[in-house]
Amino acid sequence: MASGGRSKGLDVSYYPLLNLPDISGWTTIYNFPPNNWELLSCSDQWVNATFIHKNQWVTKNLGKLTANSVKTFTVGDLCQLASSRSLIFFSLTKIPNYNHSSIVLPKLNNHRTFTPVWRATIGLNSGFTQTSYQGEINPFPDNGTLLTFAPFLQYGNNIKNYLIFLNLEHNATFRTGKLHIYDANKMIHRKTFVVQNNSANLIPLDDLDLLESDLPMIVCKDMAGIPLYLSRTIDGSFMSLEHSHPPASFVIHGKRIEFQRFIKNYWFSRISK
Amino acid sequence: MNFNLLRKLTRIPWIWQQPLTQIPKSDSTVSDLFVWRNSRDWRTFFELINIPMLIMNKTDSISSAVSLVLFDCKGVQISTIELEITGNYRKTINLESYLQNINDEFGTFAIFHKSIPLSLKEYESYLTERGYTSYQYQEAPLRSYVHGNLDAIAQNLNGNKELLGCSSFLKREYRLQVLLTPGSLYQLCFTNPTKRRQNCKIKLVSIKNNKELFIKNICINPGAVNIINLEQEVIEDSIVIIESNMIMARPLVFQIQNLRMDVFHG
Repeated sequence: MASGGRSKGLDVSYYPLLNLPDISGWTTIYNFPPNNWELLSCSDQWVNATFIHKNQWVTKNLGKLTANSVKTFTVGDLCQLASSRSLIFFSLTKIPNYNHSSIVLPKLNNHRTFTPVWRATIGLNSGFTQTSYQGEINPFPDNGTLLTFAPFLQYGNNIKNYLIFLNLEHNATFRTGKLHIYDANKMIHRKTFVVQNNSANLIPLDDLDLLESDLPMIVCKDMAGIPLYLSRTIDGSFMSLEHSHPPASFVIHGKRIEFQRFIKNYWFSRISK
Repeated sequence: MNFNLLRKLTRIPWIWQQPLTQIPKSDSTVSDLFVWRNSRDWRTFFELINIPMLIMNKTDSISSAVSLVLFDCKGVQISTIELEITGNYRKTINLESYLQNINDEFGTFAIFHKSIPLSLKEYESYLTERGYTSYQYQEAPLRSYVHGNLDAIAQNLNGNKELLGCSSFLKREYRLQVLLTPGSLYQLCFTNPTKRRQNCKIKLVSIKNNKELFIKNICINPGAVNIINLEQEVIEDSIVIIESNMIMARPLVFQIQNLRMDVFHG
């Protein structure tokens, strides 16, 4: 077990390896910054895989990623590493051969940027095609909440739609919460699902009686998360993957976080009536 | 000298008076410059939702009016279409119906909501449309979605428009954290949200040895869009580096392989 490795300041970004029934996840990690002005230099870094095992975050070193290089990891590469229950999150660190276990996520010393944030390509492969988004996940506080609006459902023969609710928290414990889906116009509750933290929860969206003109509203008061939407043909020959924004993205400049608090309170109060 | 102080000092030429998005004039709403594609192979859709109504409070009187403003690939405004959306519904706009007599196969569009909820004044914020565009490639049964991510253009209550992107004093690189692999066609769409013409140098660089495999220089007018095709040029695993005076020259990326299309922000 390596000692140290913690740095002050913001949380480390992690990069999930999605794993869904019939669809394999892959994640491409980049060891070069997305711009040339936020870092004075970029050095070799080491790739970690972090997952939960026996109520601990276990971090295993996967090898060196030299400066300006790229590596793609698939579920097949790492299937022996973690149990099927635990999602794997990648990270980068400047510390060689970092192997670690702890009840909270390690704060690793690595290269970071903000404009934009250092990201990975997070993708899915059906065997016929692949789809991806550029992203990262930072650990959410365990008192976080989710409110988002999701105009992504696609309709047609042999098309299936899913929400992938992705959560990462500091503590290596599993807990569950309730995620509710509403029709945002009539405020009609469509269904409630149980979701688990530190996981990618796959939620089918086709049997909720939502029409093409309905705007689904997704609410979780028990945990925050990144809502991804996957549409696919049943045979896997076509797929689409994208995430929706938090309410703060409805505005620019000013007090966006306070605005988000306001809009969440507004909608949460409407639900509780 | 303290390392952190040195780091801060070296950043000054990159950040001083160079915000990613300028503050618009008052009483404006903001939109991304979304990319439309319209041809035999491409159709474009936008998911219109009533953002003012989602953030209204009891004292607000909310109009459901929205302006869809279309620009050609040179950034010249083609038309403005007035749309209505009532209630908290989703309205999927098929842009093909508004591009019937347009020869260009791609351009940009903006969505301006006409209501400004009073509650936004309290937060000193501006309403912005960063919504979801989807593209259908050929006769695919599924569209591929991508979200907006740039607050590029504002329109005030008189209809006056203002590009909000800032130019950098120094040339800067945007390094696309995407791996380009042989066998796919990559189409990189660059929009210019600034008031100045922007010269961009696009470099395809080998991952193996940092060798520049391909270089293309393009010039993009304010509000315009340019699409770069990379297919034969990608002879090995590569990345793309964009050198320009834009703060963040982040392209929209279409990847096409075996008649399947994926779209994402770079």
